Formats: sequence, structure tokens, C-alpha cells
Amino acid sequence: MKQNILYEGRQDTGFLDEIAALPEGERVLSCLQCGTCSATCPVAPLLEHPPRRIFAMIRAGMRNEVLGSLTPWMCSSCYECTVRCPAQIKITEIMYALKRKSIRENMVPRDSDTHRFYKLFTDIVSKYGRMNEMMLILRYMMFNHPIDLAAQMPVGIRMFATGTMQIQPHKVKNQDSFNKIVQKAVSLEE
Amino acid sequence: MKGTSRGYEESVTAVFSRLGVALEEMEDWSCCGSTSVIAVNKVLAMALAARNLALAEPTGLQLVTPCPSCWLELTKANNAVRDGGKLAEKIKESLAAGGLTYNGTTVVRHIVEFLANEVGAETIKAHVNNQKYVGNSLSGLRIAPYYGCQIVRPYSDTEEIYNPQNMEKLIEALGAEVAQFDLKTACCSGALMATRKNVGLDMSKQILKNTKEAKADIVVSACPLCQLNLELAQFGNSEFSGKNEIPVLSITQMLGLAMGISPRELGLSRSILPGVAKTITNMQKQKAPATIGG
Repeated sequence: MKQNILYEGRQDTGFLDEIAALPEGERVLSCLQCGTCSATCPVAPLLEHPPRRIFAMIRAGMRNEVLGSLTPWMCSSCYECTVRCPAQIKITEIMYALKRKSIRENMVPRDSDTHRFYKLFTDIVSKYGRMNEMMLILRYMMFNHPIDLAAQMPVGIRMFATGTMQIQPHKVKNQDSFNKIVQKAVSLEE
Repeated sequence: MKGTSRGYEESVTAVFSRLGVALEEMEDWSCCGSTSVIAVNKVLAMALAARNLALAEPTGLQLVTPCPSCWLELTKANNAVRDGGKLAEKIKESLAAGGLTYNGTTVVRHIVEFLANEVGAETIKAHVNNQKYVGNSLSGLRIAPYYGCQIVRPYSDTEEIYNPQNMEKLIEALGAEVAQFDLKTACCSGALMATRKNVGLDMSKQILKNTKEAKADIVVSACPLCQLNLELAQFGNSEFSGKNEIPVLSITQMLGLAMGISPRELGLSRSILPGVAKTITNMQKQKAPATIGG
């Protein structure tokens, strides 16, 4: 049976402090629950937990529900909420932080594989220094979305014809220096 | 810019050379990480963006980017370095591992802001009026300025967030009409087009429909991904076929056409929608006053 009541004992009382301690989370304690974020969010109607509710859930210590929520993965980084928030909470940056936390703690919701897209993007850029769109789309869709991929064939053919889809990835010239920067940055991730 | 946005890149090169603005492709640039890398690793995202800032710094040149997401991420990295906190140290340490230093002095500008404020509408107007072939004039056409998200939010300090005007200034300089529409700063869905196709298509279609309600002939975009998404939403979609198709140009493709640069040089044949140049020529013929050329 679905549990709709959050018992006090199941609250993670440290979760709010944990989010507030993030560099982007400094103003999270000032959330008024006014709902401006949800009102401006272009994908809010599709979300089980629109952004206002996510902040209420953070405050309520609903760690598993927040990190397992689809909300951060549906955020398109349009920054509507960020510029409108009367409490000046950096909402888009917090959504990024929730994505990173959710990946690291293996909490990504089952009905989303958007994190795979982001990881593949990061892998390709970390390796070559530049994006290769075909590699990204193929790797992302080949196994998990084969039907969608097949449906993309006409677009793919058109893009080959126009010379905008390239097989060979572009690379940076100073690969050695680039690799060292990537390795160092990864080792310094907070 | 070398991949899906080759058309945009070609038009930037063509337009800047015609305007007499010396544009150098930045030596050994790398990807800014966009909205993806920061969702996985923040320090890496900022170091990738800062690498470009560090490479540009010794040249003393301003860094102009045609992509809003690059502009945003480079600005974010610039702010982080200038704030001088813990993140700044990590960025500098990462760069140092690759033998680079960055002192926070690189100026980053988006191409629309640069064209509107540095080049200026008057200069563009002069180039449009001086051109040899009047055949490509966009005067009389209604053009919808689509800004999307990341030029205006969250960092723009030169534009009003919900009513930016830089693209309007450029459209008016060409003698074209501005088609004002409500969704000009709405989101095209960004990467959701790849990860949640139905949501992405829906968001892009709403924008296209809104530009049609404003009786726009052409949509002009200042972002490679917006341009791609607005084209993908139309490709193979009967709602937007034939007469209902609405050409989506990049800002420099639009300027270039009005300045008499050939569609080929502007990379128009690289559009996802086939025959964009021809569609626009037909529109021009329909709109042209009957007395011209008589």
C-alpha cells in the first residue's frame, strides 16, 4: 500500500541543513512557499512534485522522495523560477545540485534515464573536448530507445545530406593539457 | 558549431567579414559543458568553461559567442573566478594542472548583444542599403524575434528579462516588421527534445503556433539549439508542412540575407527544413510592391 503519511521518525532532519549548506543553497531557508516557481515553470503541469513542493519536501526532510523525484530531471534550465523567486533562491542551480546528488547516491528515479544522457555528454566532452552529436544520440538511444531512434532516421538522413551530422568527432589540439585539466577537476569535485 | 549548427557558423563568418568586424576563431576552444556537464560534475563544468576564458585572456580580445548556453556557462565561470571563493580555487587548480592560468579578465558577450550594441543598428542599416542585390531584401516581411531562455535569464544586465529589445533593433534595421509574440522568451525545451521527446515537441510547437498567431513569416533565433528544436518540431509534421511551414533562421542568417549575401554562403542549405531559401524568396515575391522593378 502506498504510504501517504510521513511519520516523524522517517524524516531525515539533516536534509534541509545539508541542502542549505551547499554553495547554491544558502537562501533555501528563506523559501516563502509562495509558489512563484511552480507558476513560472514550463514543465510544472507534468510534474508530480512541482518546484514549490520540492522545497516543502526538503524542509520536511523527505530525502528519499526528493532525490528520487523526477522533478530535477525534467528541469530544462530555463531559469524562469530563478529570476522570479522573491526569496532569490538559486532554484535552477539547486536542481543541478539535486541531479548530482541523486546520481552520486544512486537515487535516480526508475522512470527517467536523462542522467544517462548527461553522463554520455560529459564522457564525450571529457574525452574529445568537443561534442559529437551523432555519438551522443546513438549511444543514448541505441539500447534504451531503439524505436525512437528508428523514428529519427529521416531526420538523421536529412542531417547527413546537409553535412551537419559528422561521424568523426572533433578534438581539441592540446589533448594532453586538456586531459590533465579534466582529471584534476574531477578529483576536486565537491 | 561545427556540427549541427554549421549553417549558423557559416553565416556568422560571412556577416562579420561583410561588416568589417575582425573575427578570429578562438584557438583550440573546447565545449563549455552546457546544461549537461553541470548536472554530473560542477567543478568539471566550470573548469571546462574556464579553459576557454583562460585561452582567450592573453589575446586581450573580447570573446563573442553565438550560443546562449556557452554565454551563460562562461559567464557563470567568470563570476565564480571573480568571486574568489572555494570554487574559484578549484577552477584555477584544475587549469594549472593543464598549464593554464586565468585572472578573470576575459569579457564574454553574446552575438546578439554584440551586434545590437557594438556594431549597432545604424551600421547594419547602412550595409543593407548599400548592397548590390536588392533581391534579398527582407523589408515588408514579418519576423518573430525568438530569444529563448539563456540570453536573458539569469545573467543579462543589459536587457529587460521579459521584454528584451536587441533582436527587435536588428530586425527594424533591415526594414522588416517585428512580429511581437507572447512566448518570445519561453523555453524551447532544450535537451528535453532528446530525453523527453513528447514534452520537447510540445514546448517547441507552442512557440511556433504563437509566432503564427502573430502572423510571422519567419522566426529568427539566437541559439543553435532553439533553431534546431524549432525545425525538428516542424520536420515531417503535417501541421507545419507546405504553406504552414515557418522558416527558422539564425540571427546572422537573417542579417546576411538582408545584406545581400547568398543563401549558400549563409549555410541556409544546411537547415533541417529543405528549401528554406526558396520559401523565403517566394514570400518576398508575394510581399514586394508591384511597382518595384517596373
